[in-house]
Amino acid sequence: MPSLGATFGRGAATTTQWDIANADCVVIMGSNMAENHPVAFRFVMQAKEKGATIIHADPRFTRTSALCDIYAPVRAGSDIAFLGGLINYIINSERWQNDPFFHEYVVNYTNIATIIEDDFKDASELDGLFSGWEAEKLSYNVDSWQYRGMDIPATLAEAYVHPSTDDPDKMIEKQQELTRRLPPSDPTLKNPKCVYQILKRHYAPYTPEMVERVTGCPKETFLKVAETLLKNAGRERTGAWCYAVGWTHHTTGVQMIRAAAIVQCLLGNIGRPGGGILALRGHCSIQGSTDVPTLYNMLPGYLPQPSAMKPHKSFGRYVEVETPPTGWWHNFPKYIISLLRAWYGDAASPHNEWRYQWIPKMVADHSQEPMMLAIADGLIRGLLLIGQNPVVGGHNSKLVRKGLANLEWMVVRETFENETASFWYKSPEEDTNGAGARAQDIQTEIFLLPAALPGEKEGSFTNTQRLLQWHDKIVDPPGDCRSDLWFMFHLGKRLKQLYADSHAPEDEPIKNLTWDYPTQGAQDEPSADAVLKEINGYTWPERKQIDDFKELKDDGSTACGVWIYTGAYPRADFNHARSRKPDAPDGPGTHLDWGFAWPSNRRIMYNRASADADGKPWSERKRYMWWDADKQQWTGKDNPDFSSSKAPSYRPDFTQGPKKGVDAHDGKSPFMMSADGKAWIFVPSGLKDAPLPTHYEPVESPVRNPMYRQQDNPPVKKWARSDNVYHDVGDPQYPYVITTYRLTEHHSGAIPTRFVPSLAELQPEGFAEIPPELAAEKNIANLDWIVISTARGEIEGRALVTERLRPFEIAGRRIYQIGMPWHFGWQGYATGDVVNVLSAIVGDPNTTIHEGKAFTCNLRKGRLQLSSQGVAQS
Amino acid sequence: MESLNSERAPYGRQPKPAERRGVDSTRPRYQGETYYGQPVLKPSHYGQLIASYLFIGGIAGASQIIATIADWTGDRRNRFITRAGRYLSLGGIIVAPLFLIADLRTPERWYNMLRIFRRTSPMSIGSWTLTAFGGFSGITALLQFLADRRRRAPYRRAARAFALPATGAGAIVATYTGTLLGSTSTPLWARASRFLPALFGISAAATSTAALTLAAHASGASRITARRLERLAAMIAAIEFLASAALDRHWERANLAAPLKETPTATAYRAGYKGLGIAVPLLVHGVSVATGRRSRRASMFAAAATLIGGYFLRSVIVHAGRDSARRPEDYFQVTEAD
Amino acid sequence: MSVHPRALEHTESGVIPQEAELTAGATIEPGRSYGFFTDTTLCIGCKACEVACKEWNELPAEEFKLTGHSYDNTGALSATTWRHVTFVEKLSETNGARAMNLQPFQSNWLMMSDVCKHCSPAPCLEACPTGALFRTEFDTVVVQQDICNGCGYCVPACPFGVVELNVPDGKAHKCTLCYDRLKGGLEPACAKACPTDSIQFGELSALHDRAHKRVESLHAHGRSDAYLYGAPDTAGATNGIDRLNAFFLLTDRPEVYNLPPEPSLPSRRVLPSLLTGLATMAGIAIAAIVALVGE
Ligand SMILES: Nc1nc2c(c(=O)[nH]1)N[C@H]1C(S)=C(S)[C@@H](COP(=O)(O)OP(=O)(O)OC[C@H]3O[C@@H](n4cnc5c(=O)[nH]c(N)nc54)[C@H](O)[C@@H]3O)O[C@H]1N2
Ligand SMILES: Nc1nc2c(c(=O)[nH]1)N[C@H]1C(S)=C(S)[C@@H](COP(=O)(O)OP(=O)(O)OC[C@H]3O[C@@H](n4cnc5c(=O)[nH]c(N)nc54)[C@H](O)[C@@H]3O)O[C@H]1N2
Ligand code: SF4
Ligand code: SF4
Ligand code: SF4
Ligand code: SF4
Ligand code: SF4
Ligand SMILES: [Mo]
Repeated sequence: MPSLGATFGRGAATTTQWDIANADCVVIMGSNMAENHPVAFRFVMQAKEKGATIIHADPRFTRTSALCDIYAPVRAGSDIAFLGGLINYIINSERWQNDPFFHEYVVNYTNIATIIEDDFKDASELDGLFSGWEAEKLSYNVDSWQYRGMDIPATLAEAYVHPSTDDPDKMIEKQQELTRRLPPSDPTLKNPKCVYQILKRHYAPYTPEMVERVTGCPKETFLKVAETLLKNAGRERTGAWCYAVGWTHHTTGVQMIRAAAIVQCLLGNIGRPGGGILALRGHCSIQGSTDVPTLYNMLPGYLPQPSAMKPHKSFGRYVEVETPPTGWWHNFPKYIISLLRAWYGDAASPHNEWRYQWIPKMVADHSQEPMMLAIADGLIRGLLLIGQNPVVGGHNSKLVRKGLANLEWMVVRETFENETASFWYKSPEEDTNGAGARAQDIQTEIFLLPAALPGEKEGSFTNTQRLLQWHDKIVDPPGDCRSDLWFMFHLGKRLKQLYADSHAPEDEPIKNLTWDYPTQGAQDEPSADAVLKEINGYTWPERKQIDDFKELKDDGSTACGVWIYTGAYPRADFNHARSRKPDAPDGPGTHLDWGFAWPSNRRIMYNRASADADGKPWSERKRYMWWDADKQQWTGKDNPDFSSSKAPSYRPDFTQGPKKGVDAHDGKSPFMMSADGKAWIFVPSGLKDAPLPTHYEPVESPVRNPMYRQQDNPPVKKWARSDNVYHDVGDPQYPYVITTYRLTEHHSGAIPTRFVPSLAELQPEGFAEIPPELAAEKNIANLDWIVISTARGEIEGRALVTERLRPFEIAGRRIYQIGMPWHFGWQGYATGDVVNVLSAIVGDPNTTIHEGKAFTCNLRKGRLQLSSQGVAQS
Repeated sequence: MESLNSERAPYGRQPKPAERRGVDSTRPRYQGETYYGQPVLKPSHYGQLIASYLFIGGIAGASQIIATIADWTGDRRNRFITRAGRYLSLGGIIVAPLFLIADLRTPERWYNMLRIFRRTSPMSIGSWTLTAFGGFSGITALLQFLADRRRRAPYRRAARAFALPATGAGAIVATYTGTLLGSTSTPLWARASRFLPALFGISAAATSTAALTLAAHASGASRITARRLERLAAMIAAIEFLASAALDRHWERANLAAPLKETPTATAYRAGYKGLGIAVPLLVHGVSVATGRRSRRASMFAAAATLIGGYFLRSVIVHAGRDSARRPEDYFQVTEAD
Repeated sequence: MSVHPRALEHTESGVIPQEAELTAGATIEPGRSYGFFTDTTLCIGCKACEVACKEWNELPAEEFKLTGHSYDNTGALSATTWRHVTFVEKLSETNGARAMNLQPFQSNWLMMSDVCKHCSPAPCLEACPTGALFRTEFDTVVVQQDICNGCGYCVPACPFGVVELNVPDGKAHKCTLCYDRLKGGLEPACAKACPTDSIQFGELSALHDRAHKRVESLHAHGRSDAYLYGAPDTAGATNGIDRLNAFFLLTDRPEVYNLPPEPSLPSRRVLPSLLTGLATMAGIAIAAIVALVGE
């Protein structure tokens, strides 16, 4: 989640679900919260009962919209225009200009007053591009985006080094400026090169009329949203935003979230109760899998993955370029050395670079989509799929299947036989014929291994609010089913056995990996408890649990699996993630003894901002953390996300020599992860596409960009090829916008729900939602069969004609949009065609996330003529 | 009256029934909304088995009454009617419950009907009445048999004594079935909860008279017996004609008659019940009574028609009731007006 | 820090006595009346209640069939579906445009979780000849499966179309208000699963108070269309039905949710109906006398 990371310092929800109940206004945009996060939505309803105004902006009227006060329809992919409109409205409003609260908040806590390099040029001047665009490289040189006279390290683990910086030493030197003085700023916000003035110019074109033209949302509705937001901000009131993949599944997804983050900064809503941005994460522990990452470009705890394309040759150099001089990340060496100690035990020492060289370096974008292309092209021969169903969930499903048919072997660990494991004999022939495949021609050897379900294993989930919650095992898994931990552990054991006698240097990492978790029971189940203890960290070699990451050392005396999780298992006899003690009804409501939230059990991050510059609560109503002058420390309802004894009046005294780490931040800089301690309204580094969110059209759009000559996100990742064809802008063959989404009744690839009869019956079959106006034009009645097609493929399904979808007037044209839940496949009781046959592989420049939320398609009444049976059902 | 499209007025807290009147006009009017036309109610599962039960039970109950009246007239020429009525009653009450039990979905537990008595349940009332009726009818028939065999007065007197409770129970057996249907939520039945027992009772009398008529002709009973039965049949047909017309009008006014107008129900109702069950006997018996010209054939034909018509009546009411339960608009109307 | 007084039990022991105190704020004791207050303005149509009920009661699925009726694919309450969520899309505004300015809380797409009303008095129970249907010590209405003989008479008796005969086992089935769970001090499965507390379980008097307050609060929010259905003296509790132990807060006419506006107690018709029948037979008797005495 680079957007929240780039703005606030950590790529995670800034608040907790239950704190939403304290909001005076909740905006849900880019998420269908009631349907996909029903339990979290409970707190939205609690806020509502206390009088909050609830707003939903979505292309469709959903079960979330039904529970809101204001519903704003927006065309899929047009959110930045809407959010930019809000920014423009807010900063030009009388309220914002005149209420001193806003000025005090943004000037002290954000980089709005900071002065940017003189040669910076904005998209409003360059028709959609920023200065530094290098057309031949399809990327930006971000030198001109920096603070005047300084080089600002990104807060993002994977992007410490500007991709464009050729000379790391020059960069390191320029970064040292931060240890010598505070960044240049103009608290009066008059300087034409300060962020405020740039912001003002950048968003000037985002007028309410333009918002209506681009998004299709009527101006009055937009204005109502804007006024409501403003009304519910200030000392006394706060508002919260919730988003999910309605934003991330775009080639501009990161910037959509960024735009919301800017709105929240401007309104003074970060770090305060009832404020914040709640990123609603997907699977039950998807936050965990970003923290302890399954991502290719990070090591656990958001540490940078060594890269062959960066100056990461030696450990020394890696640490040098990746350690920012100021901000919390200055502690990076402690975390990486503790990690290497945890992995390689006594084999790691300062004399052998702590075995840094045993970590593989990345050589390219190894994320899911490029990986699928590599598989399709035969570059990858084997695949382990643990809890994934890419034939249904992966984009361009035909291409995915073509790839799977090219593999030599594939291991699928699943709870049921999913589409991916059964593609070779059940997939319609047309969908694999890229590989000329019939069942007997497919050589892939497939191993389907039965996985244990949650109740059959112990472990922890890290949910959307960074909360670790331990769950006990209830029963043994049946038959051959085993937990994923069991599988990984015993696989590791066998690999170690296999290489035990090898002297090859490349086998050393496996031979030396610490892999000594105790096992228990007849099935030799490894202890998840022991794993969490290691993740938490302990002293080395005594293995005494430590209770805060401040105790981690860079001398090898501590070992820690994931530094941000330190405190989850602070004592050998206390698993904090397992504690379940809710606050009493009259309690503070932060429930600090219910599970453990990283970092250091802080529930609202950046909570220093809940107090004013002097450390006093902004208001009695929004009291949360404050400076206790008597005790000389921060106190309140939560754990402070700030140096607990740093007074609000602290000023770094640079005359005494360079100030490192958070010592370089003054006492009113709540965002201690970032180099300057501020929230970044303007992002100087860390993002590949823009310092300020800018409206670009989706890669496939029925209209030209009404705002700039630049059509789509300049550095967008495209892979145009014959098996992944993109539609042209406004292609009359594919005139409709299609968006894909979830239903409460199913879960994602939906294997766990389509196989459960009492869930399958609730949404028994795939369908497409289409507005009555389009249905009338095409003579389609409710429940008629229709065929939906793109250049990638065709599928069929029933039409659900509903007024919940509506036509949009975009730039003077009527645009129809249809929607399809993508849960279906041929397995289980509830079946339907695979929607991702329609979508293309394309990626956001920062995250390589696909654009499943907005592409174009065609539609006709009738059914598919398939030569084989496959998914077509009667 | 408010405009239909104006802002929804509060449906609001409902006043107690006594006060309810005045408020009705402020309520948003019912504009025919239904939930995708889906039924609100679950239709009863009753079908041909229950129709048969209603039919036979009716004959059994009414026969006992006619037999008793015949007995009480003290007219020896009515003895055939008494005897046949009591036997018919017993026969009916032996057969009818079999249909009832066969209709149970767990018939082996039929005796649970006698586990409790529940005065709010016509089904329970019916079960116990059937039991009592069966007992008294059985004893009465046995005594009648003895009286017929031994030709001794004490038997006859005893029979007369037991016939009294049997007759009372018979009156219930012949009519409670209307209550059984009427005390449900099925609109067609519920709205006719006072009509149905009456109509079923009348039809029970008509069909049992018809059965006695056939029996009289078959066993060569005296002409006066046949004449009296025919007179009775004509009178009952006339009553039934009026009663069923009143019920039709009632349903029509309540806007509930639709299920009776759908094929094949409509045909069964008009031709089967109205035609065979009422028009034919009314004409045949009526003409015969009025003109005094009797034809055994015609009389037997009319009696048979009455029986068939009586069966159609039960069958139509049962089926149309099920259809009516499936019509949400009918139910909403009923519950609105109630 | 103030910790919930019962939090410790919660972590340390597997079985929590009177768990409903923690999950629903209700102590479950025989001899008191329990029920549901279903507040449709809080319902998000997630159907968790429907699924929780099926899972707890091990009920089979219905047909796998897309109905096209919005998101309702189970259609109605039945012998094997004891909770059912209705969906009514009402997006058109009078001027033909689609709604955007919504009413606070649920509007324009109505969703309601329907269930057996546990009526008092209960038409089904009153109709049951075997006593299989009985009123429990919690003032709820339950079918005893070991007594029911499948006479099916409760089915048309129910004014809400709830109870139904199950063909395979030949017995009547409906919601038990989780009789088994209540006995163990547990909140009913559906209510416990409901994420937004649209379904609230508790003692009736407490629920009635809460519900009336909720209506007032909604009126204060501008929802003048909110009203109770099934609480004493409200719509739904009419014509002999004193109250529905499972009662609802609705915002549109009852018919929209497939509920009868003013249901009635069928047993009220029994006596008049029986008497009419007897009077008729008296008439028939007179006719018979006339017919059988003349020549
Ligand atoms: N019941 C259930 N819950 C789930 C899941 C599930 O499958 N089922 N999946 C889990 C997972 S993995 C995830 S990632 C989350 C996802 O949670 P959500 O993000 O809520 O999921 P979606 O339904 O994919 O998309 C949300 C909404 O985005 C809207 N949308 C589409 N395009 C745009 C756009 O351009 N702008 C805006 N503003 N909105 C747009 C869609 O209409 C849809 O209503 O849910 C998690 N929770
Ligand atoms: N068009 C379109 N495509 C999308 C999306 C979209 O909105 N639109 N959403 C995207 C998003 S956000 C996501 S997260 C992906 C999801 O796509 P996938 O990652 O493929 O997710 P699931 O279908 O949830 O697959 C998880 C599988 O794990 C299995 N499973 C469950 N528990 C366990 C376990 O304990 N162990 C093991 N080994 N297996 C287990 C389940 O049976 C299930 O089949 O799809 C993406 N694809
Ligand atoms: S399924 Fe689990 S993660 Fe999703 S809303 Fe329900 S409780 Fe939360
Ligand atoms: S709703 Fe129907 S089944 Fe439930 S108690 Fe009332 S009458 Fe009985
Ligand atoms: S079907 Fe069972 S529960 Fe219903 S009335 Fe008959 S015996 Fe009672
Ligand atoms: S109370 Fe129990 S039986 Fe009744 S609907 Fe809820 S879960 Fe089902
Ligand atoms: S669980 Fe609650 S919110 Fe979900 S459908 Fe049922 S009543 Fe509505
Ligand atoms: Mo996801």
